[in-house]
Amino acid sequence: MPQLSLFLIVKDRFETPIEDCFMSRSQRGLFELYRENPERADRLIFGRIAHPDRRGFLRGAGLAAMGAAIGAAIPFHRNMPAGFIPLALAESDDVIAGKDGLTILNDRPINAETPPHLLDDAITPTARHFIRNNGHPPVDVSAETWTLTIDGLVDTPLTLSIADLKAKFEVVERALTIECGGNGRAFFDPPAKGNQWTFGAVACSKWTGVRLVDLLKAAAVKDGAVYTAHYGADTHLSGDPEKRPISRGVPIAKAMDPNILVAFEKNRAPIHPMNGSPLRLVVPGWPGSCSQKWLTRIQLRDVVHDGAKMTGTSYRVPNRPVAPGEKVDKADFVIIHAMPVKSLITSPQSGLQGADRSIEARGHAWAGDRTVKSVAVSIDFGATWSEATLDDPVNPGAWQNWRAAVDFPGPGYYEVWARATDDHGMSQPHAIAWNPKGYLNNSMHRISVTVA
Amino acid sequence: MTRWLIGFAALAISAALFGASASDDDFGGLPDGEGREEVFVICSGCHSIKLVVQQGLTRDSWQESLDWMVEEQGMPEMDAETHARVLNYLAENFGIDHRPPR
Ligand code: HEC
Repeated sequence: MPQLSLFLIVKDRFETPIEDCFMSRSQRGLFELYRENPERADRLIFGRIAHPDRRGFLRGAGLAAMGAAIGAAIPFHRNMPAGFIPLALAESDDVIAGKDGLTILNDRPINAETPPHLLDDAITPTARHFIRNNGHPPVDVSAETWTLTIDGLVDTPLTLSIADLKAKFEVVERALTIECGGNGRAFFDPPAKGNQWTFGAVACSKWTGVRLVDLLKAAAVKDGAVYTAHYGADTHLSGDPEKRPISRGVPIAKAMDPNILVAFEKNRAPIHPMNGSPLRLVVPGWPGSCSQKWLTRIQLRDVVHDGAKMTGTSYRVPNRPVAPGEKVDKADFVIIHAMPVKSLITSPQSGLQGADRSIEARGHAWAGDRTVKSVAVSIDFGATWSEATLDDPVNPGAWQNWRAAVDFPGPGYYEVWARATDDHGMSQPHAIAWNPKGYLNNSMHRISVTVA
Repeated sequence: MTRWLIGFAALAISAALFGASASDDDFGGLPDGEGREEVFVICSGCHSIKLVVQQGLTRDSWQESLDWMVEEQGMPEMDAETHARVLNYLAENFGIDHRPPR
């Protein structure tokens, strides 16, 4: 759509020479033009001339054309730097560089999940790690100049470069599970608003970084601190610099958990730009929103943090079971802490036709701050269950891999169901514990198999 | 001022881009119907229309969403007529029976 409108605008407004630049009519043309000379590209494509401070649109020149190409007015156009490709155009591509096979739920900002069968690896490759963005990712993500500030209720406020983090604190590598609080929202009935995640907003990659608790010790947290407040460098979708897309935190006791990392590498490579490069928090087992991407600051507070997406109904559930569709008073919502026990079948892929009588089913299981004690598999719609082989986590905070030999009695249609149970005896339910915002769906994963 | 901008953009879109034969694709997958242009222009200001077409919500819930977009997210307030057209369009086309495109 942006391609189309852009082309039409160019065609409408200019004679042949400019149209030549767009002979391919592809986005590459747009990017090439901007790479060669951003301000000239502004002028050619949108008829835009910036103010002398290299921001905004002089006497409105080009504003309407750019707005039309994006499909909307630009309320903060006066701040827009010259030679700047609007994200609306830059992000509209259907493939995300460095990612493979993800399902795109939203392309501006990009939100994308991984189909279960592509999550088969014990450690999730970067190309298969889901993406959850609340705002626009920052443009400048150079690791050399990045700093992290720890302040608020501390005796020794710290501002550290990534080199400082590596030099002054123990660097550790951990496989850590991150799952979006809304994973599984798509199956809510009545539906709940937000990105309609199905199964794949979960991953367990290897993260390298320093322990948050070590930073907090170095900063010497004061007695009255009750909550952390996390800040990142992403910007609000409206373009308003006063607003933050997301700023969440965790209770101080959780912040001291040695499994929480301030990470600068994933799978021994720089973090993918869409996953928070060059620095992010990784809080395993809690809603992914606690794991602030593009991390710039952690503030220690004497109140429960009230940043963006901490209040109202965001990442909160009712304080009691409610009926599907029930209206719940805002005052009755509580903040989600650890995520519940859950599992995924990553092989075979659902819909397998002509399967052998004997196959291996396998996948992962995880349980917030707990460990998974057992995984059971059923092929007869839950009438009988057999125990799967379950590995220990490679480290605390990592998901656990499981596998089961499955023998089908004869040809026909089967469903393979998996059910994990944690070390407190909590199992995955059949049905969804419905809540208004569509969080914490840990109902059992089922796949279909037709045996030849 | 903001209202003028929104009206202006809507005009620019419909006049410059879409002729009589606009398809759903031109509107980010929004089906034809009264209020489609307003929804397209206003709701793609900050995020893609993909976030809209994934939803299936009650009228009340759409109303709440519009309030939230204005009060918390900085969406310019719509005049009463535009608001009604937008709300009607969303409630009719993305009601509680609607499921996201797969
Ligand atoms: C001023 C910016 C802005 C405008 C304009 C805007 N939105 Fe949003 N909208 C947001 C932000 C910010 C979010 C939250 C994104 C996130 O965190 O993933 C959002 C989220 C949503 C969601 C998901 C709800 C949720 O709980 O996450 C829906 C649905 C939505 N918008 C619909 C609309 C519709 C319909 C319109 C047009 C009437 C609209 N938006 C216009 C900023 C805007």
